[in-house]
Amino acid sequence: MDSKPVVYINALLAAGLVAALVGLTVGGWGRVPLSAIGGLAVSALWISALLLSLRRSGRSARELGRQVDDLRLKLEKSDEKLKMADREANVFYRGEIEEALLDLRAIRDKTESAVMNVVTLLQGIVQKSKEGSEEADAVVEYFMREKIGSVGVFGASLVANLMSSNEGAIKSTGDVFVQLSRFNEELLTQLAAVIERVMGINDFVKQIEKIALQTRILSLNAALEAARAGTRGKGFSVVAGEVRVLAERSNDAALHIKSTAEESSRIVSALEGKMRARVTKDVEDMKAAEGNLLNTFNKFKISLASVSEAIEVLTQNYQNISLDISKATVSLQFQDLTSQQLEKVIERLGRLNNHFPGGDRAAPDETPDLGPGLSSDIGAPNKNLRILNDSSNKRLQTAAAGEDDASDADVTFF
Amino acid sequence: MNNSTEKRGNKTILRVHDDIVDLKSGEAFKTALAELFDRGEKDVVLDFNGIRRINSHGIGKILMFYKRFQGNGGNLYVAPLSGAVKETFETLMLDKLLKECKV
Repeated sequence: MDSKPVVYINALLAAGLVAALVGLTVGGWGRVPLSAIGGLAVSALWISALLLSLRRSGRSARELGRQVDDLRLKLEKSDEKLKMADREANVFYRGEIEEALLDLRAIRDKTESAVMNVVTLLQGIVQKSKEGSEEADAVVEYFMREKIGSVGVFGASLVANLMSSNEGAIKSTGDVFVQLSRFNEELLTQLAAVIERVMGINDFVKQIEKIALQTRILSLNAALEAARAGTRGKGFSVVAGEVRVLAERSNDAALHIKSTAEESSRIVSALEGKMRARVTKDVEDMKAAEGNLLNTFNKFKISLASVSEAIEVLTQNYQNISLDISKATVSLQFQDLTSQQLEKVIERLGRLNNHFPGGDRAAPDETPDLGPGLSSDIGAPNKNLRILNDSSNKRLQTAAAGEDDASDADVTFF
Repeated sequence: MNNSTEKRGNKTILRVHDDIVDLKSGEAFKTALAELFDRGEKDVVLDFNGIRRINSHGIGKILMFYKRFQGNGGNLYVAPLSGAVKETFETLMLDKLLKECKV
């Protein structure tokens, strides 16, 4: 029934009752005035209307009950649908989160592996650097350096030893040259003296031969004159004979001297031969010394080449170390890339988490809290979706309570 | 790199079978010597009769480990040499540094 007419009728009936009571009161209870009768009649009508109204309200209440039941059924159906939607959303988001977690784990494993690679590389670099330095130190010490104040493990360096050898070789060569020079000088001096004497002897021999010849000629002439003189020339003939003997002896002496001179000449020649042999030997010695010198210098050159090669090897070692450092740098750059990838995944999870109303909302740079159920028990119901469900239930229940207000007006009275 | 070791009395013989002429062979030679050093061997005889050439890649390692073994109270020796290896040793006067030891 419309609520306003009901109010008017109630007011009219209430007024009628009051009038009846007043009439009775004024007229007294012994006499029943007309107004009282009217009032009573109105009251009777009012009570009948009331009873009628109650009957109608009863019917409305039953109708209301039926509506509430319908609403409850609808609510339950909605609840079921919500639960299904909740489960589907759960499955979907759970799948997304699971994939994100797998990505994160894969990236984490890659990151750990890359870090281990970097650490291993760096450890290798340190080890190679130490060994490289040790080898460089040993090479330089052996080839070039001498420890000042103490004898090193290697003693004198190779360069020092080679320099000593060179100096020895040069000194020996010098000595040979000096000796040779002195010998040559002496020899030449002696040869000059010998030659001079031989020349003198030859001249002397020639003079003697000349004198001997003249003497023989003279003796022959004397013998001729003695023969011409006859017996008076016998004494002269004897003298001539003696002179002839003297001439012959002089000639013999000259021949002897000549022979001696020739012998001397042979000696000089022999000496010359020996000298030549000695010079030849000395030349050979000089050549040998020169050869040693050249050999020593050659060894020195080879040693220097070896030093250069050793330094080159050491340089290669350090170049390899640089290469390892470059590899480590590349790994570190990969680390940076991995970090960026991780950030993206974390942001994605954060956005995903923000889709769920209520609960903790994760800031963009924070790892969102996905709830305890997801990490250890994927099958656990989603807490946020359950809250949504509860809120929806409440709203639906409130809405259902709002529709009940109209029916309640029939039974609401002061 | 091919090498082998043999213990004889108080000496360990390291027989080298590949020429030591590049980074790889040099590193392998170094590894073999490092193993012996780390194992605590004192006296090691290097036998190069199985190779024809050795250059700075091997010489540097010999000098490095000569110092190490000396510092540890030990010594490096060399088996009687021949050929180009002997010439190299003589040129660099290593034959005066490493005493010869018959194996």
